[in-house]
Amino acid sequence: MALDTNMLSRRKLLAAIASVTLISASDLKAFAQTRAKVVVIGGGFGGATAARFIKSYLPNTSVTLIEPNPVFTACPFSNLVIGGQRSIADQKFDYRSLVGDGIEIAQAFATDVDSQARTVTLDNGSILSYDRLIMSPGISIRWGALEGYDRAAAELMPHAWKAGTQTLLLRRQLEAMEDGGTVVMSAPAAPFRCPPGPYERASLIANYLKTEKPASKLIILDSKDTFSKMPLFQEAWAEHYPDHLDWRGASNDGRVNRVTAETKTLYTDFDEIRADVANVIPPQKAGEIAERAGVTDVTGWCPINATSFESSLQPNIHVIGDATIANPMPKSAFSANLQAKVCAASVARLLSGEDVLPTTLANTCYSFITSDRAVSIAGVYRNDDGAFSSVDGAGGISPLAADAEIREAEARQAEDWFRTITSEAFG
Amino acid sequence: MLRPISFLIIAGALFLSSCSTLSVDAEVDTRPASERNYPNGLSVSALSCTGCHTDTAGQGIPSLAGRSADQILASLRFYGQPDTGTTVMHRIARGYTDEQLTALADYFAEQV
Ligand SMILES: Cc1cc2nc3c(=O)[nH]c(=O)nc-3n(C[C@H](O)[C@H](O)[C@H](O)COP(=O)(O)OP(=O)(O)OC[C@H]3O[C@@H](n4cnc5c(N)ncnc54)[C@H](O)[C@@H]3O)c2cc1C
Repeated sequence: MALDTNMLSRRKLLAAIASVTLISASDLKAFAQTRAKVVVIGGGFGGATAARFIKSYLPNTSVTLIEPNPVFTACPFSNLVIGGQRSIADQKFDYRSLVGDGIEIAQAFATDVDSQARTVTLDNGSILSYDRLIMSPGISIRWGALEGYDRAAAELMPHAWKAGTQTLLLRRQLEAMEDGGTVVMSAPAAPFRCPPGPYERASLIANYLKTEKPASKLIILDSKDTFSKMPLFQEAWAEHYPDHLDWRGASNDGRVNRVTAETKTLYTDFDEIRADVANVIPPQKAGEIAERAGVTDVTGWCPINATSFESSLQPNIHVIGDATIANPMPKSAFSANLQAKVCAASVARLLSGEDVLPTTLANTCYSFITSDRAVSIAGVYRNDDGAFSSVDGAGGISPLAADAEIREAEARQAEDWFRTITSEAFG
Repeated sequence: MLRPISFLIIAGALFLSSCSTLSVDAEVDTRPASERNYPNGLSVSALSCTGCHTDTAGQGIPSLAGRSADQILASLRFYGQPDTGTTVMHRIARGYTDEQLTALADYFAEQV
């Protein structure tokens, strides 16, 4: 490509043209944005959505998505797999639609980010450069933060807080357990991925025990005294699982501070509990690559400007999803998907030389309480001046003491939500 | 990456015309920023809706396709009333001003 060697003069030529015609600065910026490179780390709910929306907002921009797994396994609805109502196959999504959209997929693990050189290093040795980087790496487990809970322990006491083999391991352990057994779940202190998730899972495990292994019982040992949708879950547990589910809060000696995986024993301050099946939901932090990129603070999570989703710590790097500090927005797939769309709009504006705009954001999380009933929590937020806030008077949980029809309607809405959100993210 | 030949066409087009709505090449969007693909102003807030509402109706969540702005606004205003209803839409609509609800209704009416 002989003419390509003249590329260096393009900018000069354009500048020259601009100087003798009426071309505005924004035309030059429009030209510039077509050459822009956007790299996205993580092909989950945040990353896949961000890649697709950047590509649709700025069709001429090169978008590369870095994700090591050829197939993504979704966490939302994975508690139904654990409860025996759903196949893991229904949780799987590939990246074919993204390829069709013109997004490049780098099937690799990002091992380093150089925010000065604006490059990402992959485990296959290649180095990608970017103008803007969007990171949605989800969570990492803080191995060892709960004494005795390391990678090997997770093979015996699954966390199932990243969906896939861990989900199936917990399901198989429940299936293999003899009737009369004790299932123990340990729930962490906030913040963690999916605040109502442990309690949805507890409901669906109790539902399985009640129907298939009625002499068995689930004990939840909690590091908190309150949790998301608590009155709704407690109402459901009293109604549906009075003989199959016990919840122990932190002030009732519920906080687990040590485990022994070999004997499936969980220790609280004053007690030790032997489990036949143990589900340890451990303390978490932002996906490890966030630390490498220098976008985490002392909490292990990522502070961001809420309007642009740009890291407060590194320029040109945007962070979305579970990895961020976005409270009062929860760490949910709904939030990750919406943050991805708003972040993509912000990145498109920044690459076009425009200012970012604040907006109104919403979140809805449904939780199943039985195989065909669900409850919900919703919130409405603003992201003015770089900070998130809740909109007064909006949001809240499903009504208490509601008819079965209302709970069943929310279960149908949950299924529609799952279909829509996954098709927005994965096509 | 831009091919040199298309680059020259674009450069020529820019040279010949300062009219920025010219679409001379799929590779360069020469429209002013306000006419580009990405959402502006209140339409950004519609992004909160599309995580649930698509153009096909589900068994629990209605589609907004084919509905007039008046129909959508009437529903949103109904949901936005204080202290009624059991769905998430009641809890969500209360977080929006009437101006925002009107803009959302207009936006979705145009998406048909
Ligand atoms: C049991 C359970 C139930 C849930 N239910 C719901 C629900 O009903 N509703 C809801 O809204 N949310 C739910 N969630 C929460 C939801 O799963 C998360 O909030 C959501 O996945 C966050 O999206 P994310 O993009 O931040 O991370 P993820 O979706 O986890 O995506 C992260 C991706 O990044 C990739 N990655 C990580 N590091 C690297 C790297 N260095 N290089 C390349 N790729 C990398 C990973 O492979 C992964 O694919 C649930 C979670 C759990 C555990």
